[in-house]
Amino acid sequence: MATTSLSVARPGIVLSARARRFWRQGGIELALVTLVLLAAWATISVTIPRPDRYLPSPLSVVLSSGDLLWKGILPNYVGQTLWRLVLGSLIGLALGIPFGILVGLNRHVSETFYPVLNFFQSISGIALLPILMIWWGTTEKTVFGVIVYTCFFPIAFTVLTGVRSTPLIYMNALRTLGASRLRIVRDVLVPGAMPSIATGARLSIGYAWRAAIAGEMLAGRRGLGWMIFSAQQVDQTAQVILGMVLIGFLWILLDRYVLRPIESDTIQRWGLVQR
Amino acid sequence: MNRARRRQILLGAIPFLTLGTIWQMNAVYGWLAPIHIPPPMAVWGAIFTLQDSCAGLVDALQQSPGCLFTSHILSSLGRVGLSLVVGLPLGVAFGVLAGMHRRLANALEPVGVFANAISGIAWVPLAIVWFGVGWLTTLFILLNTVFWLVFFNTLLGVRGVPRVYENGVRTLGGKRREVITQVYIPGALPSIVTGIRMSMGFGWRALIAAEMIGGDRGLGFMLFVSAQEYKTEEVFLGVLVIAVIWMLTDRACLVPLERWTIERWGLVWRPT
Amino acid sequence: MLLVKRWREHPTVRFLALALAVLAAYNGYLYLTGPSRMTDRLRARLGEGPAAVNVLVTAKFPPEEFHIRLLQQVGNMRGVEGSTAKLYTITPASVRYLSRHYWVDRIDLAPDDGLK
Repeated sequence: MATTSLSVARPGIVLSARARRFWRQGGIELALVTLVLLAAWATISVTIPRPDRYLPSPLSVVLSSGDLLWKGILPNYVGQTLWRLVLGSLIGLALGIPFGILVGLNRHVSETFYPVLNFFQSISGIALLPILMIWWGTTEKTVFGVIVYTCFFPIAFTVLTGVRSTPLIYMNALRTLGASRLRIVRDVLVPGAMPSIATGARLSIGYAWRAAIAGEMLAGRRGLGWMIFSAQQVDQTAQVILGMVLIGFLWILLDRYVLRPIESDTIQRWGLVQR
Repeated sequence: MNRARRRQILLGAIPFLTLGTIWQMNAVYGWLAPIHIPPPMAVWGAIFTLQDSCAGLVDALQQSPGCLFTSHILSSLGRVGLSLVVGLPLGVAFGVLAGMHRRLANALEPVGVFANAISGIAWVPLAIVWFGVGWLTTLFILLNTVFWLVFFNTLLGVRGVPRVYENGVRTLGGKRREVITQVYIPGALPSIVTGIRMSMGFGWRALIAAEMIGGDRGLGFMLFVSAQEYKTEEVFLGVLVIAVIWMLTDRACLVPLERWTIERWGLVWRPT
Repeated sequence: MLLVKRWREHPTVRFLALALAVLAAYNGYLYLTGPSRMTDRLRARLGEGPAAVNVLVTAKFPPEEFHIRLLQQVGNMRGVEGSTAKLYTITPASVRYLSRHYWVDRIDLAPDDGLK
């Protein structure tokens, strides 16, 4: 670390280890900035004309969430969106990882598929949505199609690149010891691809989350995305803000507690390149 | 061009040629209805339908209503350019400041993490409430994405510059301005360029999405409107244009820029 | 993939375990309180194993578009009076499904159930 930590030694005050960590990792600043932003939010909301439309106060957002919870609407919408994300990502990953590994095995095959995978990766799932809406209308199939598509290509591409970049020396070493092709795949290529699988999965699920929200908005399927979209149309801005806060919060939870730990663990255990 | 490169290009073209052939065969044999998969010639022809009453280059540049195709492309690209012009300096400025002052970084980082977690598209309804449907909404979404990503990457880059360099410049009598321009910005350049590349990637996607929902012009808007009118050939055209623009931008501009920056300024090699 | 020792302390494992526990508790609560939302009359009628029944679903508030949509997916909606919705020709399984929603106050047998 280039900069020194700012733990100021204060004689006479002994803080617990937890408190010291909170201070050092910027917990104070986080608390302060949250308070400042909330205060600014509340102040602006009170001073502008028509706050219900433009910037409802934090209190009304909280009340709106209570109302939606009481009426059983919020858990339903959150559950629907999460369900689409989980199922769609699982299908996309289950298709993409084996595809990436298989295609990566052979040099010529991987060179064949590399550009076309790159091409489809640049067509984001959201750009594909209008085509799917023409084909399948505003059904669940459309949203799932978008999520699976958005999830498949990044992971296939990343895994392909990962398998290709396994250093040849490992494969050659196993060959000199007389290993069969299958053995090499199992002991060198698959573990070598693990870091890219983990990184690619994190990337793919991130894309899939955005695609799920967008798909709900455009294809009109009930969920968090639909909630903020339709709330905007009837000027229920409190619901819009509530939805946005939930979306951000859910992603932070998912990323920090599930995706990132798995990624760093995998790289720690299987990573050939120092991170 | 050596043999390996030539082989790569030939092999890489095979899937495209196969898809193109199947596409054309579908148009000839009619396996799937034209409303699902339009014939390639129809997609090409859609360019001219959209450009129908276009009077010429000047007309196209002025985005007159006759030249829909070019006007949509120009709108989208223009917003990207504008967001870079505004968002890049702001992001770099804040990133450098935050990199130099720990407390500012600790304060701004959570805000950025949260703003980014609310993915670009979730900002659209709120942006529509504030700015209405139009270019300001789409620009806001783009700026949001660009600023935070450039900020984070600049912060990372500035933090990675060893203190030794700053101290060296200070001992030679450099003031804060020299420290920033001679040490931190060059040192953080590789990260900044990575930030530009990331923000362009996410920003382009967010722009298309924002134009679909809250825009009145642009490629995303064109896609959405054409889909509602079931003009599949225009939708296909739009999708192809989006892909081509991104591939050109990324492969022809951003990746070489990144590589050059790392070679010229890189203090630490970080594989892409 | 995970560092096998001390896996119980791994943040992902803890988070997923917590999420699963919350989900299980939530659903368990809904399942357990389901029958309490049905009136005795209704339970008796369901005990007879009919093919379809007509019910009155009373929510804790006037039902909104979300709830009406949900009800329409399981039966024929025949109007709303105050907080009560008349739902006709729904299967017993659907009645039990409805009873597991916490915003439902009471499900009662409609007065004209069984009549043609």
